[in-house]
Amino acid sequence: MHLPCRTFNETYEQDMAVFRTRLQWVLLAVGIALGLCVPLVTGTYMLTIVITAMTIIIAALGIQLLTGYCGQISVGHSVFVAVGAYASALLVSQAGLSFWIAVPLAGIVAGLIGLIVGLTSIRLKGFYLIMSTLAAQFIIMYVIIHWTSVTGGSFGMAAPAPKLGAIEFATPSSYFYIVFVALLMATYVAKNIARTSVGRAFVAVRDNDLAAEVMGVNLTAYKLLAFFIGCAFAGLGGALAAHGRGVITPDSYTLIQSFWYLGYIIIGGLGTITGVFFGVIFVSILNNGLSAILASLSTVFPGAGSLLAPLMLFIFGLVIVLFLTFEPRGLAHRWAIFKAYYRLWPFSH
Amino acid sequence: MSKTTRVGIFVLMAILLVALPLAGCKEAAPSGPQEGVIKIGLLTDLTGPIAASSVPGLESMEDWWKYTNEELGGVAGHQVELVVFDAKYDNDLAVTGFEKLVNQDKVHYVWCACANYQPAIKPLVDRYHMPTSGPTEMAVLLPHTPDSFLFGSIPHYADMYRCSLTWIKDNWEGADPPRIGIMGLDAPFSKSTVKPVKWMLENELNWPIVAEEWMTMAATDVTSQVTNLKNANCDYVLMPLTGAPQLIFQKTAYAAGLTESTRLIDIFITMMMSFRQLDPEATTGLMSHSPCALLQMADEVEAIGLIDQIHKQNRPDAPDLDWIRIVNYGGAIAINDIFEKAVDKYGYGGLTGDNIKWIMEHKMKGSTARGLLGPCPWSTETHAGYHDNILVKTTPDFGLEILKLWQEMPPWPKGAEEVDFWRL
Repeated sequence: MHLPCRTFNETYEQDMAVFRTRLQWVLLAVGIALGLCVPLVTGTYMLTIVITAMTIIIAALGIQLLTGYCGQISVGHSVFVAVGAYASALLVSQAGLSFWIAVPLAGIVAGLIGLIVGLTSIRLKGFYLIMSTLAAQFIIMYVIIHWTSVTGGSFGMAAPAPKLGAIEFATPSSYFYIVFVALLMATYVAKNIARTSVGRAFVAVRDNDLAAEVMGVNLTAYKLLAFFIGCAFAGLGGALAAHGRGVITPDSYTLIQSFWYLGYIIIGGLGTITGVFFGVIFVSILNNGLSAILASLSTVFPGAGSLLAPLMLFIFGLVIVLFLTFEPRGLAHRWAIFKAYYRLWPFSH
Repeated sequence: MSKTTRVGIFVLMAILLVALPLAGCKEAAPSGPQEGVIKIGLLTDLTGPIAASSVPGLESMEDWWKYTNEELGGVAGHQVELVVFDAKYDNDLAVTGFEKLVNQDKVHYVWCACANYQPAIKPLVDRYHMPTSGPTEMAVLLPHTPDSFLFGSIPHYADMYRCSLTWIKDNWEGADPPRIGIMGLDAPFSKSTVKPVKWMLENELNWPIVAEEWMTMAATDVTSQVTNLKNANCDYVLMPLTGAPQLIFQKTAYAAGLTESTRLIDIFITMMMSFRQLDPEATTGLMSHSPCALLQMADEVEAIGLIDQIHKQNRPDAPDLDWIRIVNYGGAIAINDIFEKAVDKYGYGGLTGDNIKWIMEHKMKGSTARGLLGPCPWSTETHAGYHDNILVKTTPDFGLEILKLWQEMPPWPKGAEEVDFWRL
């Protein structure tokens, strides 16, 4: 569906290809090349925003697989981001492991913790599962805050910058490349999980778990797998964010953050990998753009900052509400319509 | 909905997506300081749970620099420009905001209004050699290390309690030692206050801690904590709380009758007029401690008259000067004095982070911000903030009864130089 004009799939490989046409490959190459150039053309501030957005995308890919594909709603996603962050920092600073080993391990640790939380999904679904993941948010954060000897408690802990031989990735411009590569790999993995039998099983569970079970889908196994994968992505994103920032504090992983992860995939489009990108980028641009506009207006109207700041929040909320009202299927759907229109142009039918 | 409308909305969204980054997110090359302008970044909360204290603080900062620019011709002849970033009580946003202030706005100095941000921005502060201080204590980073560029502007809250407890010891007339209760908040500033205070109670004063209760930042019901404190018959309850949790605790304590038998000792927030106006009864009779001169000290401190005049001129509808406003005026005046000395020694071109830090550590020691603040150590010898406190008690008419002026904090033991001494 939605293949460009005069493009026909004749083999299974062609049918399964993510990038089907030469133009798509060229666009991918150009996109990666442009991405690699980002640190060269932007300043540190912009780069910090971009790195933050990329780590959020990696974490949000997890909740997209868990909630968007498998239908297991989690309102505790940020706590798995925290688990990854703390696990990685501890593995590097306490266990002496290399960053390159610690970060994937942190993802696995977060996945395993997610697996434990996911055990409740065997018996629970819908609102009850939401309550279960909500409990996980509070329980795990309680442990993090009160296990002071290990986590530093409310004060947080340092997350050392990665090193590769003599090269230290301590600045945003160098750290960008690590996160960029991680994002490409995470996207590749997530996209392929979604396209394989695992992804199809997730969708079957989401759409009608009874029907899925009748068709032979092992509900227990796939729900747990979804929790493991989803939380592993969260942990990976959290670990990368932590080492980039250099310090971890529990205040970064609140319930509000968990709701935002759901918000990203709802705004971007549930059940699509591209939707994650759209959702995070949209919110990031809106948030930082409004902050910048506020700063500019405060310069033009000195002293008006305290009046304008709540107005910016109002605009932020209004845009989100309007957006969800008029495009409830997310930006990814709008993008799909645009692509279809472009491919069929000038024939709209 | 018609197709035209849908297309219209889509176009509007597309314009927003393009316009917003163009308006703000692009790296604004010319936004560095204009020749001769001193730029000060304000990392603050114009929205969020502690905006009630941050906004009055920001207003006072703005008022001082407006006065300086318009009436005094700037600092050492240089106009001062403020760059505000609203971090919304969000650590991640604070980190982004700090990057913006340093790398895009090219500020010379950062005033960080929230203690919670300090651990998050600490690596950046030191990486960029950006002198940073705020109206809060150094909750996390004690002791101040020689390589750190992060400074406090008021004493650590434990220092303030040390003053209060010393005053109580000197004035206690009971046969038995006073019974102490602790009401802590699950936040860094509170935890780093409770531990050394407990050490003092247990090792120096030998006063019994008869109850220790904790609440979270999101708590809405503290009935059980208040009941436990009441049942323990405390003479004093130390409550290093802030914001909404403090108001909830005080209202519950008042409703439960805890305040009839027990004196609550808070940090300083009850001195905020806006806070007290929310519930005057619940904030009456509290004991507190202030690191800055108060309106009641206009006879002793000349600068109080000046800032009161500036305040009334700029904010005719606002409440009188309160703690949060005065401490921000004090902070602004301290920064003012730092830059005067820095420009005098190094010239405008020499306003680097390292030079400003040198001035803070070597030329500002003992400074009182024209009498508004207790003498400031700002050296590597000890804590990074001011040490002396005024002890006060709130009265029913929103006034403050001053119990003792500028009490000097007794020294902590040697162990206090270790960060772990402060961490619960």
